[in-house]
Amino acid sequence: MFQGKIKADFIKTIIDATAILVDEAKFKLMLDGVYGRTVDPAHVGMIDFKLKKEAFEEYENKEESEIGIDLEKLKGILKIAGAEDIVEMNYQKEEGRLIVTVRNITRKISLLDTSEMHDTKIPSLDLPAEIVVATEQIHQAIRAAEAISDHITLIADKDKFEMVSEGDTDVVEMQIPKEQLYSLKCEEKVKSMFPLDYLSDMIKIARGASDEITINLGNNYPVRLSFETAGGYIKIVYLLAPRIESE
Amino acid sequence: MKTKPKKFVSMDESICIKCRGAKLLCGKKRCPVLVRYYKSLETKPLVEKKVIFGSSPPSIFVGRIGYPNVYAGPMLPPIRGNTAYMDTPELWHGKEIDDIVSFRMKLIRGKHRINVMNIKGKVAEYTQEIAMASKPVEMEVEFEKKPKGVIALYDEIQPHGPSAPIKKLWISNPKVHHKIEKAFYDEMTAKEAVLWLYREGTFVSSIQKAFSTGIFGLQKKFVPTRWSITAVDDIIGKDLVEEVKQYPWLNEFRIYYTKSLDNLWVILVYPGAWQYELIEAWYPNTAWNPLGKEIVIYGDHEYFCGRNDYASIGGCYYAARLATAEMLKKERRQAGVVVLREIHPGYIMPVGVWNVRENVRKALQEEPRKCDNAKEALLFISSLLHIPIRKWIESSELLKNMLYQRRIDDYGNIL
Repeated sequence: MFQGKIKADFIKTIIDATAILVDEAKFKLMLDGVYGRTVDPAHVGMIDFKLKKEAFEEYENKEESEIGIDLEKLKGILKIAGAEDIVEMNYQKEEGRLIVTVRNITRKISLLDTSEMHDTKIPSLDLPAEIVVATEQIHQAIRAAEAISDHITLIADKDKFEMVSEGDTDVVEMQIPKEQLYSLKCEEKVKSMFPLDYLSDMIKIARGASDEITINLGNNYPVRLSFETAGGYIKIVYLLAPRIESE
Repeated sequence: MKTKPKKFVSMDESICIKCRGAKLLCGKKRCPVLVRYYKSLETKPLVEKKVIFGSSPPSIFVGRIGYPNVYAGPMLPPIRGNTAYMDTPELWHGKEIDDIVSFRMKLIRGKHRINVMNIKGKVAEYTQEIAMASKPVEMEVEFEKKPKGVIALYDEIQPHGPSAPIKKLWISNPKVHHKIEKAFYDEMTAKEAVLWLYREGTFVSSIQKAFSTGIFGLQKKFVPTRWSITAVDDIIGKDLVEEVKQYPWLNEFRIYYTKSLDNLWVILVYPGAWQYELIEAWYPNTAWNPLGKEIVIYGDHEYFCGRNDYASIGGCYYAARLATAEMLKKERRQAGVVVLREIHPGYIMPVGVWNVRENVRKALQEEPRKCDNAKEALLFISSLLHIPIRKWIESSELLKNMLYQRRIDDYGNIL
């Protein structure tokens, strides 16, 4: 049996963060919190989140279990909750349903069979550069790039971080010198290109959750984006596969 | 990627290819392309009589001009007997344009002004009965005047012969298509009826005729032929795609191809999540590139989540999607599909989107060439196509995506 009470804003962040990649997801109800890891159907983007029990107002779980959720259904009930409302969730294994209560409204959500939903593993990636930057700045660069192209290149060097997007005729560039970054660890220049639509969705979620984001970058290699909220008790990590045109 | 697809960059924008005589984008009152064909075909009309006796294949036509008050009615040739082939595109593979034109020209279209919501009156009811028939229906039509014209051409509908308003009409008892009849009487939505009939093996062209005459749905209404063709292709295609999306990925690259009506079809099926693209390359002097000096390449695509808007290349997009999803469903596999179509100068007039559906189906029935990787597949494709492969890649969202976009599993096991 699982029972938890949490601020609507927190649970919404997790659901929205997952829903940009998939319609259905498997969540693990652990003794110390709720975990999820999912890859999108095209295997281009991945999310790995930890929602620690400390982020809940109340958290009670006697036994580890997993549930399969149709995210649209959960969104449907969360829609009526204000950011500060408390959402109550109950899961009884025998019933196979997740009972979600917002104020005095209850929705009993029938769950999906998790036996066909694979466990997703995270590949171990060697990402030499780490940039910590204001989410808002990344968001602005992406907005400017979206007007001209479908992809964007992230470049890190010893003393700066850059984002460059080339369209058929126009170019959008953003440069942030080291002093204006929260931190920059980079010994040699690294550069990778990414699909803008995925990156844009991920950054929108990050921007809603946190003022800063950590970017781990390599050369023609996947990127790792991580950020946290709820006083560090919610951690979200995205992986995004690169686009490699030079072959 | 997975978001809504973007409009295509074409090698040379040609409004004719976007319009295909349907929207009159050039601002003229009549489509100059169609007029040119009419002129070249102008000869003495086949029919010199006001009364025609013959067997409707069965065939019906619902116009779209003046919607919701449109011309609807049966079509019949002045011939008795087994005329079924005349309106069954499923049987036309391998025929030449001249063959198709010559028998389609014999179909005379009876016109009667109706309101699409109001299926009352003899002509409307008879039209419905004909659309429900499983065999040719003997009938006699008295027209108000001698049928006019030689051939009527459309972008998405197969051509037909002269037309005239109906004065009187008599039909023999049609042999009813029992499944279509069941769909008519049972409480089914139009979508349910279409899907049920398709699964029962009914020809797509028969479903389209029935759809057009308001046989399906809880609120029965006539639907212009042009819209009903795409509506049926879309309903069936979407349903198949939803099923295909549940299946495991194909694990090889395959190339299917066929040639027909001077159209070259090359279909690449590759491992990955469902995604689909149709790209057409119109040579100068072909049906929808009559005035250009260069080949025009134009296409549309969808990723896993589908499209939010109508494909700019029109009904052919949905016809080819149905055919490709049909093959994947049969194989219980999910894949990416890119359909490349080269339209060579022998394709002088539009014959309807059945050409797309049936030829893609035909190509997919052949034994494919199998390859282990994208490079090998593209090399083989370039040996089939006349246009250089790099031009296709430049114009194709999905080929670029297949070649350049990496997956997370390229960097380690994720499952």
